[in-house]
Amino acid sequence: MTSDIPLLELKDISRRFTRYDGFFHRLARAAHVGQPVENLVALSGINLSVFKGETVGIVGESGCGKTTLGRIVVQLLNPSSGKVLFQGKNIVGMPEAEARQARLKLQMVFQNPHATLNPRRRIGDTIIEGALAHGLVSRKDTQEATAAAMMRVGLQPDLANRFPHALSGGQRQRVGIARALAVEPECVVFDEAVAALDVSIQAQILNLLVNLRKDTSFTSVFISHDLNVVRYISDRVVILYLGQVVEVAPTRRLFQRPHHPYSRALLAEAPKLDPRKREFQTIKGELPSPLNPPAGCQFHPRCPLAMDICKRAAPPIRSLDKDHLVACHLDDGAAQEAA
Amino acid sequence: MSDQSPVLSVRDLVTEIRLSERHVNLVRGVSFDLYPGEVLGVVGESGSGKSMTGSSIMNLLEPPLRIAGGSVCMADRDLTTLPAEEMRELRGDRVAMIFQDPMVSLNPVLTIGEQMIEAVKAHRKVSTNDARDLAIKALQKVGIPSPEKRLKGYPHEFSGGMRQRVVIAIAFLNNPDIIIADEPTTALDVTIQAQILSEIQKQARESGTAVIWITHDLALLSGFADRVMVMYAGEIVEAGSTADLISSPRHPYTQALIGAIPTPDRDTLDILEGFPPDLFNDQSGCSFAPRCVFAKDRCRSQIPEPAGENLSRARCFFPLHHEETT
Amino acid sequence: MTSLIAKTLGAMGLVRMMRTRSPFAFVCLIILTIVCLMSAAAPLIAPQDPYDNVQVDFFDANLSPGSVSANGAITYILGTDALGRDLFSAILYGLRTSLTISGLAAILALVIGSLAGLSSAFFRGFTETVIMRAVDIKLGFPTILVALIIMAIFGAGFFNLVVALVLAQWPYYARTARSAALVEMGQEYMDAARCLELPVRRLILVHLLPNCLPPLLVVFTLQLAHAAAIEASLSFLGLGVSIEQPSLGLLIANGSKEILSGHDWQLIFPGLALVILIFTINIVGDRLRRILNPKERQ
Repeated sequence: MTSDIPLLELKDISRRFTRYDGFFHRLARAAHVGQPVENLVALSGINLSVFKGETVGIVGESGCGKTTLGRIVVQLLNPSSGKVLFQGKNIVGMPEAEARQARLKLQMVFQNPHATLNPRRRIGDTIIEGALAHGLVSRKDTQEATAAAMMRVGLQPDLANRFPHALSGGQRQRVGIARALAVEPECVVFDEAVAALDVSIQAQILNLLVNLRKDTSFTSVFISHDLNVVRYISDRVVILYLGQVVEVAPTRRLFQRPHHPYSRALLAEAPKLDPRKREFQTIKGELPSPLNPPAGCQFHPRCPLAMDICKRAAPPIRSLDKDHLVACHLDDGAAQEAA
Repeated sequence: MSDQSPVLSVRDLVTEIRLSERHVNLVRGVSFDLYPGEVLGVVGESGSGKSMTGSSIMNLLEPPLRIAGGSVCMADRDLTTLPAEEMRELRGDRVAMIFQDPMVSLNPVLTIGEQMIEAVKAHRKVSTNDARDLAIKALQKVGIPSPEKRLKGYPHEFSGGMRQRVVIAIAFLNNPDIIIADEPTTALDVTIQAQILSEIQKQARESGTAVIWITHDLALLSGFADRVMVMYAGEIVEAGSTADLISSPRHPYTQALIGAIPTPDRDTLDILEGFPPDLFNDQSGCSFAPRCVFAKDRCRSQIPEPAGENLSRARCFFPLHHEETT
Repeated sequence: MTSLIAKTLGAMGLVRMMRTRSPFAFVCLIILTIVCLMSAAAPLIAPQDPYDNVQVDFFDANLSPGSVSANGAITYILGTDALGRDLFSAILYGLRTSLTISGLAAILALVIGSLAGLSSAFFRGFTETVIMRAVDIKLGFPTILVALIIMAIFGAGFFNLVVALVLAQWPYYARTARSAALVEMGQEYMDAARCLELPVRRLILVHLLPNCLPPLLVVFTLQLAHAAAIEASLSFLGLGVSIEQPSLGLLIANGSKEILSGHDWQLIFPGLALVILIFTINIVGDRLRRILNPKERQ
């Protein structure tokens, strides 16, 4: 399934959001009355490869930077530093005409079924607009192309003349998927694409995605807070915590043998359908503020297995095995010696 | 559990929306009993009437919504006919409600301490200092670190999870008989959700408070609730102990709902085709019949008996049997 | 073509909603429509052209309402002014000028201001800073003052008046368009459209603009009334249209000179015309705002 060169590769991606950094704030600081600059580090040092034909799941809690990461992949946001390699070429800072062509191959499906469609445009127009604008479909074939795009995601073509408000949440999400697929992308980023749907509708959309994946060249990045959903849909899973990758592993392996304590906690807390009453083994505390992240390993204040070294040194990402990467001092020979 | 007398009895509750042209029932004959110390889960998809049931019990409906029939009895008092003044006294004292958005229940311009002390003093004759001690204890119980300091904080200074904990602390402040929680953890992360579930579980056990937990997430209820009621199109279609309901669902909808949840041991999801019925269109027969794979002629013409008065009864002519399995 | 029909139907829907929600505003809308139609058809329906010296009889000066002209041809239902012009005709011609100027100015300001506002919300950064600071500076001065200054510099005249009104009014549209567009820019459909790499022109005009239109429509009606008032004020002060052109402001100015002579109708009727025009536009605009605002919908 995988070839040697990744379709998409993120290299050392960081993204900061700054506050109080405008001209007048700087002026005020020069006069010693201003507030200090606030730096919110949404992502730091992210490395990630996506190979053709695979689906990579990105999991994390709110504020972990998963949405920022998705937006950087499709270039709705620029990284503060780092490269986004698409088919081997860095698309950040590429000449605009070339970058447009590359970005067109990277599409996104969004979370909110009520906001994802332009309320004043008909479904059919919304779906086929991109393909028409880029000459992928000729004007006289518009109708057939729209119908085909709609059938592909399980929508009745006669809905093409409806406006979004006449559709259910599940149908709208299908329209969003059809719109992204209509421009023949190389990679689709799904940002919490099923999170806002009812369970039965969510299952319909998930099965649609499973069917789409039967096409072996279908590549996607699936961002979700829900481990169960990610497990169902992805080949590999990346777990983010506070803007950093803490573990990367093939899905099956991650669910059988999670290594990082945070991954284990996430797995333990994910609701599962088990008729037995259970005690909640909670990990303590809350996500620290990204404005003021803890020193050392960012997870150590909440980690049940935290050691001395965790407070001092941030664990580097290391490979446990082929394909299984983790950023944790646990069972790390070097760290044990240092401690 | 059923040897005790119920703390709340709901019978044939009907809630309607009054529009200029017509009246439509959104909750259609819901009946159940709630016993002290139990966690009763109410699960359903959007539009199933699950939240409406919660608001109806609390008598929180605003026009054009209103209770059109049935009774909600709590200690021989019918909450549906209680004067507004008495109902207000009851709320926050004997009955408390927790919403998905904690800011609905918190006043943004008062400190947490002021709000908690006010909540105690509104229902009990205690000094401000005693009320403060109670508030500190309540915050401690829900796992808020350094509660004395946090009492001086305003709601916006708390994170989403902390805010929801404060709301839960306020709800438990007066040791209410019943807490109705409407999707209180939906907006929270799983690790925070687990913390809150464990606190609610502990509180319910220790103080004997009965909890009605309204959610769309059956998986969440599976490890948490004692009993579960499944709602569909404003009706309870199945009710029973959590273990029975999940391991051997009797209503086809319950089974479909379970089959649609992605779980670690599942490689395919069951698809429930179609959409819930539009309650504004009249429909004959069982409300689930159009989507039910087992539907027969009788299901389309007759309406099955309501479920929920007894344990483990499904509102279905042809309940599923599970003898052959296990 | 189909979209045009759809838009007309949408406008009809608005009118129907206005009829059921606010019958008063609906009556105002009807009066406004009649006033507009009458002023547009002024050359056809006015008993005389008051600006054609051949038709005006100087001996008919200062006749009270209802008088008949010396030659018996015209009944002056609203009387005549100091120059013997039929006041009713003069008001129709004056309304025509006022409506043309304020309508043209309001439309131009709508287009320019909306594009400026949409662009600043779309591009953010430097573009936004420049445009919005210009808006802030303009809003620091009263509209009438800005218009006065421009007219004082460039002199009276139809074209200069339109330019002055546009310069004075575009910031209101820009501000409204920007705030509406910022909300829409945060919606996922705009992100999706950006992902599709559509041309910027298309993103702004096809996706952003239609969703920002309702509040702009409201600002348009209110600014239209405002423009009519400013036009009349400037003309009253002699800084509006040139003196040989008909204008409500000039009529009011002339009428005010006659008030001590007991010819009060020369002030009252042009003033009443202006009040009716501005009042009905304002009421229609205000009810439109309520209808279009989902929060105030019942």
